[in-house]
Amino acid sequence: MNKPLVIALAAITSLSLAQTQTFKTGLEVIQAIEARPKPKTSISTITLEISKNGQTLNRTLKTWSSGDKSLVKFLAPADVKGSGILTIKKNGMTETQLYLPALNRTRRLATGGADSSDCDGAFFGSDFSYCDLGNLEINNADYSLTSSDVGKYLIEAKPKKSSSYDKLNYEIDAKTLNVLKTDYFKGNKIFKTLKALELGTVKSYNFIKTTSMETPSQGSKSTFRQISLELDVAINDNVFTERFLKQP
Amino acid sequence: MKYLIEFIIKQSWFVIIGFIVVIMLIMAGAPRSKINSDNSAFQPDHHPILTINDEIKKTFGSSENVIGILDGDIYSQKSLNALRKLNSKLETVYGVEKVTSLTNLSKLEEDDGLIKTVDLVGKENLSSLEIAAVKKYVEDENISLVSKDGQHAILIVEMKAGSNQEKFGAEVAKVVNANWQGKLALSGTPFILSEVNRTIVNDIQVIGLIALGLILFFLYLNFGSVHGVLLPLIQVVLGLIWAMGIYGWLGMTFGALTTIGIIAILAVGSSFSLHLLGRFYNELAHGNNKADALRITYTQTSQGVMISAVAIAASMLTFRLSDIGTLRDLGVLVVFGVIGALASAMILMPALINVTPQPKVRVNPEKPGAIGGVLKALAKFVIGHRLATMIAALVLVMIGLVGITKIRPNTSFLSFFPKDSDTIRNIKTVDQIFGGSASVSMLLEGDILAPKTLNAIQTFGQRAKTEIPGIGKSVSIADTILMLNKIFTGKREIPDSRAKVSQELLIYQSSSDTSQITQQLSLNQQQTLISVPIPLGTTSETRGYYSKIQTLADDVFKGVATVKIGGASLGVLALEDALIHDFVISLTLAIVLVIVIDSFVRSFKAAVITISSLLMTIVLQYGLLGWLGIDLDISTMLLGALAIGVGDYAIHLTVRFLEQRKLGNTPEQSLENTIMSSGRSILFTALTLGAAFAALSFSKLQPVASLGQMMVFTVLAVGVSSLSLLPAMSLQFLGDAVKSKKLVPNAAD
Repeated sequence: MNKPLVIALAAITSLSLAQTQTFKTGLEVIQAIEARPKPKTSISTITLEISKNGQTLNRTLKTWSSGDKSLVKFLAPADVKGSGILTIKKNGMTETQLYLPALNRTRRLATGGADSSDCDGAFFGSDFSYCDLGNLEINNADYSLTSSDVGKYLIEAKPKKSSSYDKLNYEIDAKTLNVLKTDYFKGNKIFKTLKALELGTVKSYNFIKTTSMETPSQGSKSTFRQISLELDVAINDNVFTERFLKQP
Repeated sequence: MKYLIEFIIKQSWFVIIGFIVVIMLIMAGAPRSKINSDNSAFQPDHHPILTINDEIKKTFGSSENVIGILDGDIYSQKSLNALRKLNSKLETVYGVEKVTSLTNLSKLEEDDGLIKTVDLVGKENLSSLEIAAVKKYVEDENISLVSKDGQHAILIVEMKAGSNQEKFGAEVAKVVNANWQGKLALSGTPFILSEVNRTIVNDIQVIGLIALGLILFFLYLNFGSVHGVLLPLIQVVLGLIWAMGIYGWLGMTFGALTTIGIIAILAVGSSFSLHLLGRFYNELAHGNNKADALRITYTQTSQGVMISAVAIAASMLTFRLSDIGTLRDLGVLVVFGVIGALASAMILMPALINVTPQPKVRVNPEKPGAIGGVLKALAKFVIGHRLATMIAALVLVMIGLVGITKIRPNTSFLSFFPKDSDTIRNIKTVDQIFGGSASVSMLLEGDILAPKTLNAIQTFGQRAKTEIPGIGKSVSIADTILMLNKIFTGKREIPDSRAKVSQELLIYQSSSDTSQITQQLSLNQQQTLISVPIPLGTTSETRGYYSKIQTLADDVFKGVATVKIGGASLGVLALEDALIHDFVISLTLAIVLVIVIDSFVRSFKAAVITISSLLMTIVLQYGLLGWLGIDLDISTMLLGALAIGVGDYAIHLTVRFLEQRKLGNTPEQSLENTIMSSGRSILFTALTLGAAFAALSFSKLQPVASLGQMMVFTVLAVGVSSLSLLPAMSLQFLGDAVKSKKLVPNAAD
């Protein structure tokens, strides 16, 4: 959990300014996505719904993010309410503190996260892995533009080194550069599919409000919904402290 | 039949070419068939245990796995390196969901106040100190992936849901054997199924050839000519092609019982030809020319052959009512084979006889020398001792009935292999070291994360280990919670509130591989799975464990959670229940069908007399099964229906007896003539069928081998019964049957 969660979610929601430039190669499109202005801070409330075989698990989280610092607090369900995870990246090291209100204690935790080489683990039991939530590492893959028809770019990305997936196919909105759909391949088969289900706008940014990840082989689906999102707002540094972490 | 045989005699080449064209079309379907040794082929369609298994599979995924025991000094650099290598190779094998061994375990540990996940054996070439640390962790945490003496590593390879079990088992076995230098033992349903599949392939080739060879030998012994061997051979081969071709066109699959079906087709098909050809030679020996001999043979002997074909088809069709897929398919295979062999014997064989030179009759069936003398003496004995014969049969039936009470059902996979086979040795080794290569899965429903539920789960695990001897260590969500709570609080105990449990799990989910949790806890946290390893034993032993686990679970979880007990290993109980049900239904229906069919063709009285003789044989065969302690399994349950099917010589005897009575002979003379004329065919049919089924004794699959041995007894018993009890009963009860309007044996049909 040492990857700041909020940055990860920002990557999913693909915050971006609308633009009209056209691109000729896959790499150009990806570089343009990464070059888009990003908000400096964010405060959001998110629901995560995981469903499988007719069963559903809902969780609500509130997140604060500023640079290399992030805080996640669980608001629901009741038995995990108040649990929190504070992540601070400093001098190339990531330190994570977790707080369990039922035990009334904080602990330091060191595990794999989105920027870790071992990021296959499921994000809180969902279909998203930490790798999926991580920012794109442009230099780690070869990109080819397979189609640019009807206002969309179709880009195939093949990792240069060993990765969780053998191939990714991106479907990108040519106007907003939002990633509308991503197919994750293992071998020649689609293992998971990410879809942008609902778009929204905050300030000068457009973003994906609802996004889902489906794993057909396991019959499961996870959906993130942004309930509220504030961008580029001032966040007091006290938020990213153990004291705030322990506040109800 | 009269018009058909006339047409065949006049248009023999047309019939032969037409038949070849039809066979070629049918044969094209044969390559479409595939072998299916999947576990589902052995399971009934409906059973409460299987419904629970489906529910478990839907929520928690596949519970199938291959368990390996790897011998060596496990706490050594060499062994740990080899295990790491094997572990990583297995992860890329077909159908592998997850590999668990000492070398890919991770642990949560606290280092100067920092909780972190680290690999237990994180690299190659561990130092002595690092290996000692690994050993200490394994011993402290009571991890069951290494035996207490450190001489055996345990490997668990889980299968992806929906994968082909047999292929998965075979691929895993191949990789483990190629990558582990020391001794090893494998177990688990997929591995056992792969062994079954390998045996099926070998059996079909070897046993088929042995059976064919033995049939040819007895055909030559009977007819003494190549002509007498080749003609029946063509019929049985065509019967097989017919069956396998249609099987393929229908997209059906071969299973463990297919070998039995093939042998049944060979045996029954050869008996059709044997009776028809025997009569044909008989008529030639009486001076008839080839065409006339064909006319007499096909207008008189064809009735018995057709009744017998319809009887076996009917008895085999009763398997279509079975709840077990592999039995339903076996019934269809034999029916197609019988139809093919019958069509060939009734249509192609007379055409072939007609276009080939008239054979030299080297053996006169009416005067067969020593055999004739024995048969004549037998006829005189039966005529003189009809009541004594029937009383002796009654005594045998009583002994048989006592034996039936001793029958022991057993559908376990263990019963598939000889006790001294490598497969059984493998399974026993895994049972001994791992504590059970089979497992019972308990599905609990309730507030799983509530402390009282988790405490009950922990209590169940402890009590099960001490109160049910032989079972292994249960694996449950309680183990994970205990491990987490120890890390977070330093105490190896279930937390005292639901919130603590939920929050510890939440953090665990955010920081580690969560697959273990999803295999134990449902998404809504209302269901959990407890896995209890049990030794792979007979079905009665498995039923015993099932019952004890159920009783203990009822006691421990009363008022806490509801419990459903399933697991792939309990599938054998479902199979056994279905088997007994199918056995009773199919045997009863087969008997009724044969009586009804025979009554329509001849008379109810003749049908009952014939079936009574067969029933005695069935009682004797099942009685012998009980007395010899042979298991009633998916193969031996077929004995009754097969006895009815191969008991066609009983039908031939009553047909011939009534034919003799119609000619005006006295009952005694009719009987003597019948035994003298049909006796040789009955004797050689019994020998030929017995030899064909004896080939099954060479099967490496124990149920098939047992069936072969029992069928040798059965066909010989039917033969003896047909030449003793049946004549005695015919004499006693069918002496005046010639008055019946249905009795028209000489009429050309």
